[in-house]
Amino acid sequence: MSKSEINKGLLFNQDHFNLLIKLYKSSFLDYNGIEDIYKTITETAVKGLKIIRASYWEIEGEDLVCKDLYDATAKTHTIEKKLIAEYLPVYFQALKDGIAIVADDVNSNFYIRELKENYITPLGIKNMLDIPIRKDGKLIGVFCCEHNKENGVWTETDLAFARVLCDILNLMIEQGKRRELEKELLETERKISLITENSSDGFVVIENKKVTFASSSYYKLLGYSENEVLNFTIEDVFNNIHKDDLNKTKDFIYENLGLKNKYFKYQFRLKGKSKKYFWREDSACVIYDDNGNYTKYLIISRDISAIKLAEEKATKLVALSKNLNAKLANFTHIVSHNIRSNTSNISMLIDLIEDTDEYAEKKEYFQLLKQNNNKLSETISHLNETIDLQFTSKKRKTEINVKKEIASILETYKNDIKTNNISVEVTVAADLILNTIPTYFESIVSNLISNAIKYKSLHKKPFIKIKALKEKRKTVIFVEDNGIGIDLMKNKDKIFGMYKTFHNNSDAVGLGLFMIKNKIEVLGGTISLESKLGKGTIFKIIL
Amino acid sequence: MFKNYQLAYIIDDDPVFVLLFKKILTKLGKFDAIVNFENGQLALDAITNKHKNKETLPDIVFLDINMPILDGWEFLKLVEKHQFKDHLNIYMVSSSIDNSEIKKSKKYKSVKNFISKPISAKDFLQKLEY
Repeated sequence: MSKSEINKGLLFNQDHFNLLIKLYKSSFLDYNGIEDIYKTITETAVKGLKIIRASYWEIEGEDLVCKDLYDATAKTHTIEKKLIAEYLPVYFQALKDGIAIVADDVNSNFYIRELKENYITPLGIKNMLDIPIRKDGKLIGVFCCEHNKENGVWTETDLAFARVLCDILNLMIEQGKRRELEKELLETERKISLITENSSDGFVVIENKKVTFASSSYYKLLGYSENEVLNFTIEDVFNNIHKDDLNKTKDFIYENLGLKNKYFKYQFRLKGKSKKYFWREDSACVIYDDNGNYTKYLIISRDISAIKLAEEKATKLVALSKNLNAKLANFTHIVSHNIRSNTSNISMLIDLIEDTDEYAEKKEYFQLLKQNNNKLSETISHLNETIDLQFTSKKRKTEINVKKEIASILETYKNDIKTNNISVEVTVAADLILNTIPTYFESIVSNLISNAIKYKSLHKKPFIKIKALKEKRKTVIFVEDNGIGIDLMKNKDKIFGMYKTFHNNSDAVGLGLFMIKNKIEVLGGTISLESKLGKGTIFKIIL
Repeated sequence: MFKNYQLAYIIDDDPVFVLLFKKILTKLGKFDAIVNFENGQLALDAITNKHKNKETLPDIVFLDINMPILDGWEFLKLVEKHQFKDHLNIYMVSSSIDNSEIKKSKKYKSVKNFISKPISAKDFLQKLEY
């Protein structure tokens, strides 16, 4: 089939065909920007329609601005002055309403008469074909073909050819705009990923209760791959929150969603793939639809493990310094009361000795002075002992057999136990081993046994029950008696204080429980008690 | 001239101090009778009994702070609940030089003054009449 046969019966001749095929085969990327496309189209129009000028104009605001004008005679591309809508109402109306302004003779066409004086006549135009270009039904530009042939006529072919050029131009412009948008979008995406991938903060988007986006900074820290995180539902996320934080976090989130709050923050521990927990602070930004349902839940998730660690350390330090402060206050108190009470007695004695002339009285006072002096020395040595305890905490720990150790301590109280007819019951596994400072352990248990003997009931057969067992890697020791008990309601805060006594017992110094507690604390343990007046006391030691 | 007191109570668990204090009070010659108690509970029981039996209450009480069973502060708290609280002239007598304790004692209406140990016979009576 020859080329002429293909064209048989069609509007276009071979030249038209070749020109159009060339355009059809090209894409936006073959051109050097949109201006290049304008130029190509105007040149094609001039060639195909064999006219002197072709131009493309675009609506900007109300007016038409020339984008390119090709002059066939001069073979130049220029830009014409813009056409002001206000001065050319008929022409603009015609473009808005019609398919084309076809003026075979420029002098007789009604629609272009406003252009005559300033445009048509000076440029020597005889025939004019203006085709409006629309987008979404709205005029966006006009393609103008101009010629200078006396009695020239625009044929169907001319009209069709120009129309096709307009359509191609329109497509190309659209394509160009889309490219521009795509480029901008890519640039935005690149910037976003630059931020999200390099930030220490994680970014997560949840839509329809599923994770639809997660930055690598988010899933890498947690040890997941992108796909694993993208399959997460909200329930999966909740399942990975630390159980101590879960309800608080869930309640907080749902409360905020209920209130339609757009921004809120919360802290919790989130489990990574390796089961390790990370402290996170999530800043949520929520987008709701018109019905108040949340459609998008955006999270900036910050790793605050370091901050939490520092917080924990600070809390521990505060507790430590509080403890030290309490000890210091206790010492001040002791100095104030116990040392001063002795020294004040001594100074009163000196006064009295000075005031009397009687030898017998003086001698009595001297005797008291001696007594008091001894007491003062004793108090100071007690103080020394407790201070020593605070500074020798680095004593070597060794393993002891708890059962054997308790048996040997009880051995030293053999006589007291026998004379007071006390029944003793020891429940300790033979192989229970404790890593401790043996002298401390001995003094702790010994003191408790001695107390139980000292404060036994006089109305019933006394017993001492000692039990020791392992519990969660700790050793728990119970020392129970059915003695006279301590009124805990009254003495709760004083039990373990220095120089505190709770009974009218003249040989009580008020140092035993204080020293026990100090030694247990040095060993890193705790002591507590239950007691009822007239019923007995149970001490519980955790080491 | 200084006032004369019919019945003085000393509430203190330090026997040496009580002995010396009694000597001083006796030498001052203004205290007809002096009775001492080892702790607040014993003193409170005695006062409550006297009040019940309509006997003469002590017209001056010297109260120590640190004692077993019922200490000075607890004694004051319980006294505040009784009708006889206004009849007891209570003086805190303590070796404490802790300002917070001195301040605390001023909160109790029944406490007339805070006297620091050691006690000296010299200006003791002035302290009672401030």
